[in-house]
Amino acid sequence: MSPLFFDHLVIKTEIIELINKKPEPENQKGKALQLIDDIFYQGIVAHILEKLNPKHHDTFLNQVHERPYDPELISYLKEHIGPDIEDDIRKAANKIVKQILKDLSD
Amino acid sequence: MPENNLQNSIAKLEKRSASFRNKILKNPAAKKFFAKSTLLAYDLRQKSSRILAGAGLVGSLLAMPMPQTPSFPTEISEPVKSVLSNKQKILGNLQEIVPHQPAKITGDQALKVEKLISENTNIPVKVELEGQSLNHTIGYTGFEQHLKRYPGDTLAEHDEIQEAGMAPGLGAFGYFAKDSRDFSTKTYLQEKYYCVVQTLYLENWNTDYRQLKDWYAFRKMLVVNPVNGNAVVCVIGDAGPAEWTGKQFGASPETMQYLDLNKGPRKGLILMLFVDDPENKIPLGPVNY
Repeated sequence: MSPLFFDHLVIKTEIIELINKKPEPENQKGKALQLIDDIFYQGIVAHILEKLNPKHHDTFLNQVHERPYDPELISYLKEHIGPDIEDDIRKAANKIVKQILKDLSD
Repeated sequence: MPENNLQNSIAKLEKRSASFRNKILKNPAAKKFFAKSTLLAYDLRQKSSRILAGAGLVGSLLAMPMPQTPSFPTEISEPVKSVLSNKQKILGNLQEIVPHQPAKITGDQALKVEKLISENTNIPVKVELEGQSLNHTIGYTGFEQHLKRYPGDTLAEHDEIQEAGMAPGLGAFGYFAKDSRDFSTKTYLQEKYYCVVQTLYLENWNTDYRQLKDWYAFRKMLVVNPVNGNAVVCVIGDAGPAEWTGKQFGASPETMQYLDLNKGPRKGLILMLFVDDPENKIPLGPVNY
C-alpha cells in the first residue's frame, strides 16, 4: 500500500506494539489499525486546515486528492504556512498518538 | 483484562475518528471537497497506489528513504484490506459511483449501485423494479412527523421521538391498520420505519393512478445515507414532499435518527432503492452490516 505525504512524520511504533500484544482476533486488530490510520489522516488534515489560510484550502485539498503520496505537498505547506510545518505536523501527530494510546489502554 | 477490551477501544477510536471528521467537515472548503473525495485513509492509500502504479513509481517511492523518522504505513495497511467492513466498502465505492446531488441513476451506474449495496448488505435492491422507478434515486430527505397508524391513534401511543409531533392528516396511502384491533407488530414497524417518495410527480401518475397507488403503497425500500453508510429498510408511507421544498424524499423520525440525519437542518442526501422481496422475508428497520 502506498504512503501518504505525511507518513514520515508519524511514529506509530508504540501503537502497533500495543495492538500486537492484545489477545483479540486479528480481524479486530486490523479494524483498530484501520481506524487509527483514518484518525491520523483526518487529524492531520484538520490540523493543516487550521493553520493554512482558507484561500489555499481548495488547492491543498485538491492536491491531496490528486497526489496523496507527493512529498511536494509538504513543500506547498512550507511555502504557505511556514518552514516549521513539518515539526508542527509531527507535534500534532504525537498528540494524536497519545490520545490513541489512551483509547487503547483505558 | 475484560474479554472485549479491544472492542471497547475500537468504540473509542470510532468516536475519535468521528470527532476529527466532524471537525474537518465544519470547514466550508473541506465539506464541499469531501463530498467528492474520501475521508478514509485506506481509500486514499489505494488511490495513491493506483496513481503510482500507473506511473510505474510504486517501487521507487516505497524504496525511497524517508527524510525523517520512520513510519509504518505497511504495517498499518496490510491487515486492513482483509477486514474492510461491508459498510466501508459501500462508503468507499459509492463516492465513485453516485452523483452528490439529487439525480436519477440509470444504466451501468444503476447496476453498479445495485450490486454494491446488495452484495454488502445481503438485501436485494433495485433502482427499477417491475418496470417502476422513481424520478430520483438519490435526493434530499426531510424529517417527517409521525403518521396516524389507525383511526383514533394519538401521539402519546407512539413510543419514540414524540417531540416530532404527528401529521394532522393521513398519509397518502391511508392508515397502516384499519383499526386498533388490526394494529400489529407489522403495522407498528411500518409506521416506525416509513419513508416518503414523490409518487405524485411520476410521469404516468395521473393516468395510472389506481394501479400505481396500489403498487407503491407500503412498498419496501432501502434508504442509505452515503455519508456514514447507515441503512434502513422502510416502507413507503406517504407521497411527497412538494417540489418547492427542494427535497425529494422524507423519512419517519426513527428512520432519520438511525441515518443520523435527525440533527441540525434534519435534511440530508440519501439513496432510495426498491427492495426486491417478493416473499416478504426482509425485516423492516436498521440494517446491521
